[in-house]
Amino acid sequence: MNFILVIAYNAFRETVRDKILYNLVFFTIGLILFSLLLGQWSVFAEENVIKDFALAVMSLSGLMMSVFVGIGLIQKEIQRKTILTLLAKPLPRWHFIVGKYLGLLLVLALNLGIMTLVFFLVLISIGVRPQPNLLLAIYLVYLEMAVITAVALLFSAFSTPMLSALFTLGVYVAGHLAGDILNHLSFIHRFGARLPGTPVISVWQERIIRGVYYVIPNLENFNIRGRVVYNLPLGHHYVLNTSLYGAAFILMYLIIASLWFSKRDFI
Amino acid sequence: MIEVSDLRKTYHIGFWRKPVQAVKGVSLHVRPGELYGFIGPNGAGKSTTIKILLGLLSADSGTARLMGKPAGYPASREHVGFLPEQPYFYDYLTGREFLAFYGRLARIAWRDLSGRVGEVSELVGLKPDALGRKLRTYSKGMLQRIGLAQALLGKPRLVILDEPMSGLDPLGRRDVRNILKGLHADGITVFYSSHVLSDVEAICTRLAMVVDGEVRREGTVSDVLSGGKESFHVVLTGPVDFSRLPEKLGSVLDARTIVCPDAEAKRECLQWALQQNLEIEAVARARHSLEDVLAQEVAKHA
Repeated sequence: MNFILVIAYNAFRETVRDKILYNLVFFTIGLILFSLLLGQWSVFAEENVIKDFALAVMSLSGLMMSVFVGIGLIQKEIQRKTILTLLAKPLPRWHFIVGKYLGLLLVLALNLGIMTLVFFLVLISIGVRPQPNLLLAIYLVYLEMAVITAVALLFSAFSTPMLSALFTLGVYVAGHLAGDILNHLSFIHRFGARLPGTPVISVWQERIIRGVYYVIPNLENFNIRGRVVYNLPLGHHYVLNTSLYGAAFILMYLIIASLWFSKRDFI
Repeated sequence: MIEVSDLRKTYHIGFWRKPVQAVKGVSLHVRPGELYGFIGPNGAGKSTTIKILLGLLSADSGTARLMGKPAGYPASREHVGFLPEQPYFYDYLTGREFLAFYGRLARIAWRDLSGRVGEVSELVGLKPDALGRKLRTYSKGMLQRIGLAQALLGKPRLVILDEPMSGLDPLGRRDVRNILKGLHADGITVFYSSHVLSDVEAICTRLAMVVDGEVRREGTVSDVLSGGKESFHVVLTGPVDFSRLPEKLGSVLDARTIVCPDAEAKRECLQWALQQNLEIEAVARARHSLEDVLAQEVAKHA
């Protein structure tokens, strides 16, 4: 545990000293402030527009951080060969992976915390008291980013930075479409024979689609922004169940990344 | 401390995964307390062997053991310090932060960390004001020194150094040489690769010469220099016509000198010189340098 915390602290320190992160945070804060103007221009309720826009911006900013910082954390160590002195210490390689991951989670938490503060100040400035449900939406944004960071780490354990970024963004997009694809599949099953022009799906195609669905997280599960902004009800234990769902994927990705990383050669 | 037997490693490079055999059966044995040199030309397989020992690369076949445990197991690196070739470190950290980070990885307790950082910094010649600066402001020589410091932080029983002299000026080289001698005097086993053969010749108790992926010579410096047998120089007076010199007696070095491959050849060479009425000026043991021996081995195998 000691090694993991030492690596996590250093990963945190590395990231908070990186200029790219500050640019991203300032850019996001700028966009959240911009939501004030957007609210005034919009024909819809100012409060809802600000909430919707700010949460979307936080989600996007978190994604950028997870992908680009997450990939860089391991790849930089490999490219600069700093990993040689690190892995020559008596630490198991999975400690390195988990340590890096925890360090980045800490950075994400800090940044989302700063953005949440700015977001709430914006709401207070227009006379709206931030409702506690917003924190649930932000927590699930954080959880989604935690899953994406684990994906980024997994790809960067065996691929180049460019490919890792592409793969991770691919998983992000697929993750948001995963639910739709499965819905589409069941639609074809129910109505395919009756509706002309509906594509025919073979058993194998269906198995592949279902297999991909269970390997890629359904990221729409983490999106409760609309429901929170418009005060729609959330299911019983929704946040708890989604947390467990996210944790299972994170665990799976970290285990695969660690296994892969433990076999890797460092020339 | 280090046992390597018939170690082999092939890299697969490029798009077509072209195989390149980097290590072709390296075997060596480093005993406790030795100052062991590991020499050879670039691409001979030195760094690959070191990385296999430290678990950074996996071997295709053969065995490698570190501190009595199979290489690759984290426990085998428990009391080992390592400095890689051309080390790159975290340039966003100050020297003190960097050493504290590695100190924690070497399981040094917080309360002892500051004292230990001070000790090793002094040992490698890093001034306290340098420790407060970020590593990106360090010169190459200072990076090499702080790299050495991180290897020594955890009071290792075995130190593995890949080209510790590279990037250092002559004074820096002398300092590192003295540090290595000091570690050896303290009973710490030192295994280091180097291209600075004069240093290896001066300080190592034993060495291995690796050429083209195999250890070609191993032993004390004098064993390696003589290749297990002594050769002799027979110097004659005045320019001599060597055209009638029998081949088995030796080879001609210059207009007056014959190199005899062993004592028997030397005796026969002297008899031949007397028969030819040649005046013998001097007879001496041939003195080769490691560079000469390395050049011979490279010419033979590379």
